[in-house]
Amino acid sequence: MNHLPVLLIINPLLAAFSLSLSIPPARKNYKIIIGVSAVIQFALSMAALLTSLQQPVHYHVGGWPVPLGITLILDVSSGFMAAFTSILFTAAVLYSFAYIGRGKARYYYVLLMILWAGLTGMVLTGDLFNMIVFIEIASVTAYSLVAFDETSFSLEASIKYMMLGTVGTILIILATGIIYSSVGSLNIADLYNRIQGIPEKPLKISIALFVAGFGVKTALVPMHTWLADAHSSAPAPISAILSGAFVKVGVFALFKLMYNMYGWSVLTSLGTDQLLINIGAATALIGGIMAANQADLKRMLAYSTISQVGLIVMVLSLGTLQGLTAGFFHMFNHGIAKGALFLSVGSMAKRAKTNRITGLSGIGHDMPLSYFGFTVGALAIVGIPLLNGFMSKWLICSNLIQNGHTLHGIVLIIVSIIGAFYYFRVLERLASPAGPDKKHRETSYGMFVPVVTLAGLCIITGLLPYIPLVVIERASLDFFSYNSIITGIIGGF
Amino acid sequence: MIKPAVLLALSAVTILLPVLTRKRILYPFVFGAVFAAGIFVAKETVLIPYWLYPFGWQVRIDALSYFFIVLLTFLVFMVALYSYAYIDKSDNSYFGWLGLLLTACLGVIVSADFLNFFLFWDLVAFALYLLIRKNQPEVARRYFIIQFSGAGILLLAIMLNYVNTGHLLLGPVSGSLKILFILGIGVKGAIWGLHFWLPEAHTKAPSSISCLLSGFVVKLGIYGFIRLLPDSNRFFLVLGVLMALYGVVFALFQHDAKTLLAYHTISQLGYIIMGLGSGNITGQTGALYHLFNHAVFKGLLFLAVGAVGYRLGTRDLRKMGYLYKSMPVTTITCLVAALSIAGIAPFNGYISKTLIKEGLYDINLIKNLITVVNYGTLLSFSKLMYYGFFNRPEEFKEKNASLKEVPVSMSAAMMVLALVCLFTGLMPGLLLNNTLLPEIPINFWSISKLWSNTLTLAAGLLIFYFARKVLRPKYKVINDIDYFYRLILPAFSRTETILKGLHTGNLNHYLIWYFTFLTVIVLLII
Repeated sequence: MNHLPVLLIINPLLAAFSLSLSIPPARKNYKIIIGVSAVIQFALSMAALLTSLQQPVHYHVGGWPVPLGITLILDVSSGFMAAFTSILFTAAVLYSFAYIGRGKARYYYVLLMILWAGLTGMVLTGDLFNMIVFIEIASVTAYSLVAFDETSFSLEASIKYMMLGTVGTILIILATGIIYSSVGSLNIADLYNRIQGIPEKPLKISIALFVAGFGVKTALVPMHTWLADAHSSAPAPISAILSGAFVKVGVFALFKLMYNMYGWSVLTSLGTDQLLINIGAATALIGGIMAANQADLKRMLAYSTISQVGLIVMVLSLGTLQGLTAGFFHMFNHGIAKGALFLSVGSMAKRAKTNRITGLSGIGHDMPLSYFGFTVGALAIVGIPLLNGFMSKWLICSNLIQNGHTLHGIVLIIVSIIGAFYYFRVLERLASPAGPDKKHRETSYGMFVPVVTLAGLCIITGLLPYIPLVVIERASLDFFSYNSIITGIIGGF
Repeated sequence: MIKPAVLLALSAVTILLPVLTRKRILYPFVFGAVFAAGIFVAKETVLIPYWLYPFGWQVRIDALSYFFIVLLTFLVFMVALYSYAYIDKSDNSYFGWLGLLLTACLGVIVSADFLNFFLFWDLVAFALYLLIRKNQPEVARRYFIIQFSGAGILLLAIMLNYVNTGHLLLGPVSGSLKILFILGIGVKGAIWGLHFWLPEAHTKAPSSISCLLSGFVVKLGIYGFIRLLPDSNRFFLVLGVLMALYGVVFALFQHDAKTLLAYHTISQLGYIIMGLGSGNITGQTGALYHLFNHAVFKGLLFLAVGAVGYRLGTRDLRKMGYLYKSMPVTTITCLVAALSIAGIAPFNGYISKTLIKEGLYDINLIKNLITVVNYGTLLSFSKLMYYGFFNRPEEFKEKNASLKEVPVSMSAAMMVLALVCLFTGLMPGLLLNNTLLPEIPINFWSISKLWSNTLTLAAGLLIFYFARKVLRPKYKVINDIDYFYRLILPAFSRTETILKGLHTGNLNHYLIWYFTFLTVIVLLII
């Protein structure tokens, strides 16, 4: 039996627990433990992706049979999400070595590794209950990581995030309870077969609760209010992870339920697809407009994340295979671009000691590598040709309009134009002639290597979209035909 | 013959020039090599499958593309030569961005599929942003945002067209989509109503870039019209006349030499569009020939004004004068270009304007309007030449008369362009017969034509002599139609303010939003 899926969850947890134990050698050499664990986890997730490309893995934790036991499913879609998450996490861990001060660093890494395990689990899980567990693991660590700086802003942001996030989790648990009480199963693939058995009213309410519950994790309008505070006051690598990975994993989980538990035809008959696509459009527009008037650079990036997630939700709500491909592609592109953006802003803000756009003016001359990372990330998100964002936006627009959603296509175009407006304003500001007395050193290797690597990935995937697309097309195919694959593996329930 | 892929690869090399070598003297030669490759490129259609695989790139070089390729590579070569001295010594990256602009423009004119057409269309604006940004970041940003919005309209049009036709091959479009395509392309092509970015961008960009902007980039709009809307004659005719008149009227009263030239770009574009709309082969040939000629003489005019700016530090007509003594090469080349744009024999503008007029002569009203535009052009270029070069204001005598002529690379580029103005005028067959254009049975050198041409010149100069007091350059803010567009902006910022006001930062409010939303969607779904 292939143990990769469970190793992907155990490995970061192991590193976290060994750090939290008060063994003196572990306390001293925490960087080595975390570094080795991160490398192993990166290798494992790449191996998982390669394995899934050959043969999907259906893992029963503890050997309990389906649908009773805990199942982890490693198909191309979850393998892709795990690998994509790992790219961001590895960059963030490397960056944190240089970024996080000595003081409480150990606890920081404990939380970071648990967050990694939580997000991987959310992606891999094959049943609802586990999903709740992993969502809570990821969310609780995220709440505490947001507050890690212990400034008044970050504490306030963390509390807001926690309040709204907890309400969201409660709604998800409630929805799960409704489903479980109706049909007595928690396995997603199993539920797909029994979904007809749920009476109409509970079914509808559970869908609404899931949308509202996951909506807060993925910052859909009007549940996006925590995100700007949380992402802007968290440490830079955490912002990169929350924006780049967490939000997308939330979207992934939401749509996994929508596509693979309810089945898209059920949603269409209830009109939920129209609801979701309109929420996506509102999210994209409101996020974009809010980003345009921010004075704080990290807040601007946070609102930009909201707006891009809106685009992803729009195209995923089409319920087509090509739409899934476009959505996953944009998830990937936006993830690495936003990672590069947050990490480079972190470097600049650390040197200039401010996040404000006016305070950062002219810093591009002093820190060319960080500025390069920022520029590439910003241009990729705006959708400048030959960077990765262009291709995925083209695909999203094409899919929206082909499926008759011309207005939503126009929303995408408007959001891109607003994006160009605020990103170019910042680019101009960062490159403006600096005063003679302002001199900032470029950051250390540990900080600019991840930034430049992520920016390089943006350029490479922009010029060679085939590299991610070959995986993403398989991933969306697996996502689309999830249930038939599961049935194929375990031979029916 | 050179394969299209080789030409594209060679032009892509120019992007990396500043990285490859720091010796600036080599740069113009590389651009020259691209020009040579452009001349000898094979006219064929190929698929480059590895470009953005799995999407691919349908490259088509037919007669029309070939015509544009020759024009583009020649003009960029001249600009690179000129920029060798013109651009600040510390700024080598300029040449890389110039290479990017060259590659992007090439990409637009060889692409036979909408994806790459759009991709490079967008990239052109971005390359120009990078080129203008150094000195005028805000102008560059405004230019880019406007072009990006135009590209957005184009994207919408392309997608809707895709839905209608089911393929992405570049070709004539039909139905109501034409309006969207005209709007999308028109932003780059600066058609009337969407031209508001043009005067500012042309005026504030470095002169070498204004030369390319006016000489080639706005022509991409014409290229798009020819490819996508080959049969909208009536519309083009009206639009062309409107633009020709509008541009010339606004140009007459400018005091900044580059703004004057910028408005003349609109006016001359009007000529080209008029020719396209003539609906007969003579007029359309004239339009294409005028497109080429305009690129050459307007490029030359911008370079000459840039040369003045390079030595004098201003291009304000009120502060110029005496330059015929100190900068003879610039003065003579500028004079050649001015005569060309005014349509005086034997320079190239005469040929193309004659062709366009021949194509339109059966419509009396237009004939009269063209005459008006002609006189307007003559007047404004008399103004440019007189106040710019031949005027003798006492206050600036000491400064202006003691200037040196510009460096060799700049004057060489200007002289080559001036010679091209002359030769394409004297030997119209050289270009007309060798590219897509069929042989035109018109005798350009008949006595009656030359006589009326001379009369026009004389009359124009006479009018200028009497009206020179009225036309004296004065400082005046002349509002273009962007005045009306600016009125919309407060509405946008009000939306921003309202939205920002809603985000109170109060957790109670946010929770209320949340539960309201929950209630709403539960009600909606049930």
